[in-house]
Amino acid sequence: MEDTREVVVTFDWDGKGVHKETFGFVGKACTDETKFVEEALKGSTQKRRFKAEYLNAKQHTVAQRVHA
Amino acid sequence: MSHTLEFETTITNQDALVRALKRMGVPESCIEIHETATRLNTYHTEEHKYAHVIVRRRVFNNRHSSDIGWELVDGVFKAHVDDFEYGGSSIHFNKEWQQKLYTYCNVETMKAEFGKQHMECTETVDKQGRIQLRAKFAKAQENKNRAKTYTKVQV
Repeated sequence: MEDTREVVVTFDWDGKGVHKETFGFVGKACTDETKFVEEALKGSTQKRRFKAEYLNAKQHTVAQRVHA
Repeated sequence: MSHTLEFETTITNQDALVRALKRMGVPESCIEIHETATRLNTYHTEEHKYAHVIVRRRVFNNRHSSDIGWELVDGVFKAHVDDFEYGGSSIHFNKEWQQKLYTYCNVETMKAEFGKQHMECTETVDKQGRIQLRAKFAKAQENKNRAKTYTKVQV
């Protein structure tokens, strides 16, 4: 299967704000495998917003646990 | 899309700072890099300032005004810019100039990091005119495999 995972980093012109978006990840991998972006820029996270794919994967895991 | 994040940054990478200065049009010959902090030539002689990365203004634009520099303090580059220049009437080295410089600095830092991760990135501009770097993980795997093959050939 083709690897469609991608990281898009957008830089505000104020020299401080950086926006990171990840595409094609499922679950926790999106934060784990792209953590190097924040580490490289020594960024302090201000706003974290998870998308549907992340939350769906998390809920799925919880549901499985309940079912088990 | 899986996840989006907003954060603030600080300058920690000297190479990225130098590359950003060049992108801002500062000639390489005007940029000094020192292992130990070196004194800046400033207008106000009562307070001495020291920096590791210095742009000598007299060389850069032949103006009799203060140098600007960045001092490495606890792993972070702290800017020393004369009050007269910061937000003043000067065309160069004002607040907007510094913000643009730091943006380029973040871009160059991130490009270097993608290189370390064997990821190829492309630089574009988004609808709002901001710089955007797009890096693919698939390319990273290809490049890692290529690097392994190359190492084998070398041996």
